[in-house]
Amino acid sequence: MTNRRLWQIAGNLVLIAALSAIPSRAQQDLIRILSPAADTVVRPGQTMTISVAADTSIEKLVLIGQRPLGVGQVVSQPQPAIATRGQGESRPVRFLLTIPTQIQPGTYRLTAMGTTSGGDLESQAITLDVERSDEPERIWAEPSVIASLHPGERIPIRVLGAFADRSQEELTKSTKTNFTSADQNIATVSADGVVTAVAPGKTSIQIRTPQRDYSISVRVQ
Amino acid sequence: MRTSSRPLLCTLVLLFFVGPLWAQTHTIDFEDLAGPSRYDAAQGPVRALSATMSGGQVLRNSSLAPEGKTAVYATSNECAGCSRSISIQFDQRVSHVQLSFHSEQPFNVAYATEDAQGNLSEVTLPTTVDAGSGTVDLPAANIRQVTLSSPSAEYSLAVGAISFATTGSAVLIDPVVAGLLNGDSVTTSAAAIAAATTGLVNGAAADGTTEIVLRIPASSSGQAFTVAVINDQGAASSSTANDGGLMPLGGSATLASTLNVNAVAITSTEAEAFAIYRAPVNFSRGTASDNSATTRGVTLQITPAGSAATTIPVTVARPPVVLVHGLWGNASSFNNFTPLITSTLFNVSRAVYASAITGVTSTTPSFSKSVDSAIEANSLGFAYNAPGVLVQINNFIAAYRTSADVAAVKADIVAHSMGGDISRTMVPLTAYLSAGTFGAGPINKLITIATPHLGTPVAADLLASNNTCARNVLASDGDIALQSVTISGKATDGAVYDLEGSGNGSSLSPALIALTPANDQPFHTAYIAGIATSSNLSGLSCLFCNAEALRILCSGNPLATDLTAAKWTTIYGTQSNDTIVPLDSALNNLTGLQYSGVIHTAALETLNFKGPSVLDPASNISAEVINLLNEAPTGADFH
Repeated sequence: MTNRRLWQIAGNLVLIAALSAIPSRAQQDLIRILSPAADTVVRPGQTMTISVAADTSIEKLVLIGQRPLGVGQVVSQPQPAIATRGQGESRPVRFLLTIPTQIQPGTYRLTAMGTTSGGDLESQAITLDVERSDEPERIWAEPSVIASLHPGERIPIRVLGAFADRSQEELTKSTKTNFTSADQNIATVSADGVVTAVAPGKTSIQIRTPQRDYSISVRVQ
Repeated sequence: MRTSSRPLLCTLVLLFFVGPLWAQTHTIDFEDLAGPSRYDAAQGPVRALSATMSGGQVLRNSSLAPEGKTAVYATSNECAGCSRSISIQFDQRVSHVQLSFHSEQPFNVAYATEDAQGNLSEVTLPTTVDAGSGTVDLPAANIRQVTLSSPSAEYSLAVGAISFATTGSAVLIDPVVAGLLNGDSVTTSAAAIAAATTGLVNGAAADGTTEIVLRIPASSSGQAFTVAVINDQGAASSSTANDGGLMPLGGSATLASTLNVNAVAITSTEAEAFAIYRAPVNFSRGTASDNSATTRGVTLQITPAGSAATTIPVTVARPPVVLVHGLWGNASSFNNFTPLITSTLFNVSRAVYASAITGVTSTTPSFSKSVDSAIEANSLGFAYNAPGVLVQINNFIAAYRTSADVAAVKADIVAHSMGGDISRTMVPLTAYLSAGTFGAGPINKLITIATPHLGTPVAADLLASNNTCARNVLASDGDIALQSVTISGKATDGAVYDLEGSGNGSSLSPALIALTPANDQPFHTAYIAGIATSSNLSGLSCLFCNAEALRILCSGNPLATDLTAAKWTTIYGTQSNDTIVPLDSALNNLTGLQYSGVIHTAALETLNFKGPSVLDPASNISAEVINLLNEAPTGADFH
């Protein structure tokens, strides 16, 4: 066997090993989040029930929310965070998840993760859209001016809001916050507020929430 | 007195009577200021070009803006907290003030002039200015304040631009904003400085680097002036470190508290003299009053040969502060970092490297596609993030110059965890020294909190093949441990890979090895370390909790089985640690400030570690950082 052939076999083995670590579509279907639907809008402080279908081969199952959502609690199980096969759990498994009251508006992923005798598997993630029910009385942005950006350079904008209850919240990743550039030939802005300089000149970035707007100037050198 | 067009000849005649012929016209147009398009609430005083506007708020994209402009300074009864009056105060005497306006109602105009003894005389224009758009023209000299007032309860009054001339007065010019740099130094071209119409400031940030140009009108070429720095006790300065110092155009090896300069001809009939003032190294001189001050002041005394002295006040401001978060963090990492973030003494901004990464084609170790699509910049390595954080720091300094109306080229950096490594990674970048910082770079002082300067053994554990389950659980939480990632075909190191190291100086990742040695950095650094105690770990041995869930779910993974009060510290051998970073690593094998009974980050509380974290107010580390910001960069806590 030639060295080249040996290298090809070794390469294929590495590739197989790498692929086996990634849950395949079929593996992901062994665990599915049935409800709520993706992009469901929820409120800070709200407790919701998440229903997860799991194949009988799944021995243990947890529901993990993107920080700071935390871990779901299994309804009627001795180990609240883990649904364990054969310990009285019913299928689909129902988890309770309470959205923290101190959470920035925006989308957060939820994933169900389980173990079998062969290793761990995870579901397709779904996203929850956490939004406050009230609107800010005033919004502003940081930085307050983008004064000297060169083409290709990027700067993220943070959007902050002041609410009637005197609380202050970062709204950058809220789905209700929109960013637009007055001149995309000078600077563009992404949906999450990252400004990218394109060519020398001066323009502005406008930030809109349902009831408020704010704009900052951008100077590209 | 209101005009919208005035014959040029008339203006020239007026200027002749105002004072010396050489007059620079400056224009405040609000175009760099941010704001909403509709009134919401009054904002604090707005500073620009050595003037202060108060009573209203900046509106952008408003229908009130004059044609060709996007921003105005305006007041209305619809604006909460706004006043019926817009007040404009100038830091020095100015002449020929012109204001473009738009008003829904007639309004009154008053202005105050100042004589040589500092006495103010108020003049109210005899006639009310009509509603609509137009220009208010005040050709008087020595104006210090202008007030526009609405006599009615319902009002909407906007100022689009304010122009004024600095005739006969010495002024301070920020050479960075005015474009007066030649390489890393202030230009020696008198003509260029004399022609500058932007960059008028009232002081400088105390960073020992920022320079401002003092421009002195003279009666003739060769006229001699003595410039002296007077401290806030009214005495001649004896400390350039505390009060700043002077040097001539072209620079000098040392700063002086007194400098003699001679005027040079600008045109056949005009002459000016120049000096450079460099800001003091120390904001606080170790006194309680300085520690609780936002700004302090010195005075430049200008004495023409054979004539009486005049003075110009110089505001000495604190450098801006930029917070840099750590691995898997974002701006909210500092949400509880009080008292610093709520202190009115400091101008605090947050650099963020947490934007979504698109175009990920593969990662090592591998994750599901949904995890790949959730990778943010805060999971990527030092080299990936340092340029972007540097751009943000430079921009925060520029924004500070605009809002504070002082010259500034450096910021104090307060970095948590990996943010300290990223800050140090900036130093070798070409852009670090090429941003109008007089060749010094934008970092004044670096304060690191729980930064793994020498790595952490947890990093290698996170990437180990026998911790796949624990790694996947963390990834679902948003904490994605990467050795490398390929983005649009280009491979880059992951953050966790860059953080590999034993914690005592061995087994360092290439990124840690590449950091400039602590004793060779162009700034001073203070190190703060946390040390966890048994009480911080006592929650790990819980039942029916997240720590136990991880132990059960990922049984056999060392990181999961070690998640108990007895085993977690074994990861670090005999080294003290904050549950993530060993003590020696946080101190960079040097001396530093140590805080006991704290954990690395509040995010660990999800896994049943018990706080407070180093960024929680209960740790007292934020208060310590304020002490360090008040301490001289050559103080005992800085290396």
